[in-house]
This record gives sequence, C-alpha cells and structure tokens, in this order.
Amino acid sequence: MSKVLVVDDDPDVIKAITVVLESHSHEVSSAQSGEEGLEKLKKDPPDLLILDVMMDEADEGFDICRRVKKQPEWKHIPIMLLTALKDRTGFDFSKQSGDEVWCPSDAYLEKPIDPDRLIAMVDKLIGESKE
Amino acid sequence: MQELIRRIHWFIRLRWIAAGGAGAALYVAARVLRMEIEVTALAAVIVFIFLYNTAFLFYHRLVEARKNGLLLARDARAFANVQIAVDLLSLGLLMHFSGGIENPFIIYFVFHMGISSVLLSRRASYLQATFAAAIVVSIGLLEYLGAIPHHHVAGFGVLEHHGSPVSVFGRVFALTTTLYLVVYMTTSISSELRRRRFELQEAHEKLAEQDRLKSQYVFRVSHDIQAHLAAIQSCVAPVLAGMTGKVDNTQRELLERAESRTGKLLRFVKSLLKLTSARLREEFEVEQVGLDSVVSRSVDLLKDEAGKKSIEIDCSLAQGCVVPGDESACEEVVISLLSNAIKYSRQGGRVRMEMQNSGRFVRVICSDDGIGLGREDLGRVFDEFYRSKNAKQVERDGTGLGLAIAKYIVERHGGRIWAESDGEGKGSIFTFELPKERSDTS
Repeated sequence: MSKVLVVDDDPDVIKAITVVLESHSHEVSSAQSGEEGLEKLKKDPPDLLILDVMMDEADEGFDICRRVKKQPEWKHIPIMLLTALKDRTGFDFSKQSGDEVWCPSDAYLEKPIDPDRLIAMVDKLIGESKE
Repeated sequence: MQELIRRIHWFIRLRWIAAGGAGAALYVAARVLRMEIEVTALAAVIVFIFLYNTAFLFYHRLVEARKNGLLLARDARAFANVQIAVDLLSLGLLMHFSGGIENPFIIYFVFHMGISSVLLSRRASYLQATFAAAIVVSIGLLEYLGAIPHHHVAGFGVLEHHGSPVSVFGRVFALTTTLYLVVYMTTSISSELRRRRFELQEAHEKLAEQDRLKSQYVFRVSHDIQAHLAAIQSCVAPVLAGMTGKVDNTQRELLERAESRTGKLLRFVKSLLKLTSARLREEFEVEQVGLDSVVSRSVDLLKDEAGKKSIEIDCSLAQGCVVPGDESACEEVVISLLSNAIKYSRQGGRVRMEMQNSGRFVRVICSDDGIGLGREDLGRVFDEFYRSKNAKQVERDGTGLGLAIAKYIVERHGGRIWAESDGEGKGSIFTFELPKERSDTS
C-alpha cells in the first residue's frame, strides 16, 4: 500500500481522486492549499504527491512543486501535476523547460480525471520511484 | 502629425507643377504671344521658386530620414507656415511684374488660402490671409499712388489701372474679402471633418475596449464553468468505472448520459476559452515555425481518429516551409482543419494534406471527399457559432468555434484562410497561407 498526498483547492476533485485511489488500495491524504500540503508533507512524507496547478493563488502548484524538488529529503518523491491548462493556445508545458519557470514535475494529468489513466500513472510513478 | 508631414510633401510636389506652369506661361506670353512683359524679373522669381522648393524638399527628406516624430508638430506647422508665406511673397512678385492687380491671375492668392486652411490652424490661416491681403493691398495702392512702378501689360488687364480709383479699390476690396471668406469656409469645413474623424476614432477605441472587456468576461465565466464541469466529470467517472461498487444497467445508462452531456459542454467551454484567450493575447509568440513538422505531427496525432472511420490521410509535405509565428497556435489551425475533414468524411473516405512553398507564402491545403459545403455556407463557415445544416446532421453538438479560432489565429499571423467546395456531398477544400516574413499584424 502506497501513500498518496493530494493537494487541490477543489474538495470534489479530492474526493473523486480519493475514491479512485482507495479502490486500488492506496492510502490517500489531502490538503486544500499549498501551505497545508507542505505541512502534511513534513509530518508524513508520501510516496507520491498529486498537485493541482491552479489553486487560489495562480501557479501555486508550480511553486510548491519547485519547493519540494529543491529539498534533498523530498526530491525523490514523484510529483504529478493536475491541470485544466493542457490546451494548445493556453499553457504549454514543453516551452517551460530550460528556464526558471520550469517545474520539474514527473507527470501531469488533465482534468477531468480519467480514473484508468490516473491509476496507471500513479502505479507507474510509484513503481519507478521505488526501483 | 504624420498626416501633416505627408501633406507638406504633397504641397512641395504641387509647387514643382506651379513653378513649371508659371515658366510655361512666361514662355508663351513672351515668345508666342510676344507680349511686352518683364521677362527677366519674372524668370528670376520663377528660378527663386525652384530654388526654395529644392531647399524645402531637402529639409523634408531630412525630417523623413529621422522619422518617428523627431520633428515636433510645432516645427512641422512652422515649416508649412514658412512655405506658404514664401509662396505668397513669390506670387506677389510675379503679379507685381506682370500688371499688378489688373492681372487676372491675381485670384491665385485664393488657392493658398485653401491650402493653409487644410494644413494649418484656424488662427494661422487667418494670419496668412492677412499677409496675402497686405500684399494685394500694397500692390494695388502703392502702384496706384506711384510709390512703386506699375508694370503694365498691354491688352492683358481686365481694367485699366490708372482709370478709375473706384475700380482699383473695388478690385482690391473684393479680392481681400474673398481671401478671408475662403479661409472662413475652408477652416469651418476642415475643422468639422477633423472633429468627426476624432469622434470616429474615439468610438472605435471605445468599441475595441468593450470588445476586450467582453472577451475578459467570457474568459472568466468559461474558466469557472470549466472547473465545475471537470469536477462533475471527475466524480461521475469513478462510479461509471465500477470503483464504487456494481452499477446496474439503468444507473449506467443515466450516468453515461450525464457524462456525455457534461463532456460536450466541457468541449464547448474549452473552445470558448481558446478563442477568448487568443483574443486577449496582445501578441502571439514569434519563433521560426517549421510548418512541415507541424503538419506531420498533427497528422500523427489524428491518425487513430481517422483509422476509426477507415479514412486514409494522404500527406504531401514541402520542405523548408518556415514561417514566423506561434507554433502551438499554428498546430491548433492544422488540427482544426484536419479533424473537421475526418469528422465530416464518410466511412472509408480520403483526406489529403498538401503543402505549397510559393513565393512569399507557405500554403497548407486540407481537402476531403466528405459532406461538402453549400454556396451560402462558404462565406459563413468561419463565423463564430455558425454550423452548416449538413454538418449539424453529422454531429449535432459541435461548437461552431473551431474554424473561427483558426481564422483568428491565421489573420493574427498576417495570413489568409478560405474554404472551397463544389457543393453539398462533393467534398471541401480548406486552405490557409502564412507569410514567410513577419508583418505588423501579429
């Protein structure tokens, strides 16, 4: 059983992810803000962090992602970003590489959440990090 | 300001014609009509006009080379003022040496009043009229009183100068009042025109601002709706996937209907977001975009979609098709055309993507043998929310925004997009072209 921390300001999305992951025997904890997420991360580091990109503060998810990856004791934790922005005229992840805005996440998933894709990606990320 | 500089240039060009005309008239009068006139003095004045016009032209070129408003509006107006004043003086000299106020060409003073009313402020125009009037009055009075010599041109004058003082004064008076009247009328009309143009410009700016506010509003609303819809779908999906326990057939059917409807709404809202976010962007990114790789990537992306309908995508790329622009926006256009071609083609149809590297443009042509377009649809397919009747039959819930977004992106890149079809059921061809050099439209 793996521990997954979900950080999203939308409680309905948290609930949906929790249901999906718990049905596949993952232990899920959640936070509704970046700061709360960091607190939980400190107390009990998870095997995977799922982060919403756009919370109350714009780009808060990116910010948390960068902060986590900068910490030596946390940087092994895989991060999956949730976004509704993956459209071609909006935010383009590929363009962010190589500069300061780049967010070193390990994967991203588009909202609305596709349960099968979510499970597949979570299993893959946790599997890789444990290798 | 730029307009004033342009008009000054026009004024300088006009002066070449005027000076040339004066020279020709002098030649005809002296050589053909053999009139007794002051050829040397008149020729000297004409040469003077050519000389100062050359000087004006050089100055004007100097200003143009500096461009971008380095010449202040005040200086430009001063430049125009000097030109008109020197012209009036030259015309006065020409008139003085060719009969003074008895020369019928003395009415040419009126032309300068028209020009100064267009180029200058109302006050400056009246000052120029006063200067012109002073010249006319001086010529009339001083010649009449014998203070300066009168160069009579026999048989040319409409009145005999030393005849009646009433006719001399009457003529001077009529000409002077005409000068002021012309300035009055022309400045009234031109200031009215200026006011209207200003009002139109203001109205245009207001409309653009309102349009921007509207886009912002739509963007915010769509963004919020999108978040809610995504949450609804995220909650329904695990239930449908059986992750919360067994779902019976009726429950499944209802949930599937709900998911399908929210999915359609979500696609619509996403299209609205794309269009409004594109509109709200001040500028698209400008990088060197290889359109051939954009096209081949898009074809790869939609291969599966085409495969589901056994549609073959025939792709003919052209090499070296690089355009300045925003790569992801260009991809949006190609994907939009290609996915429409697939969507509106029959099972087993053919879709062809072709590229042409022609002159200043790169052209991308997407053709299919699908449902085609009626004559009235051709002009409207790029309108926002427009959907042709036969397209609605194929897909009831399309957004009608895909082509509007494509058109907007292409036009912001300085390009063109258009549709052709031989009619319903006869396939359609969508073509867009983008310039290889960047223009200012993006």
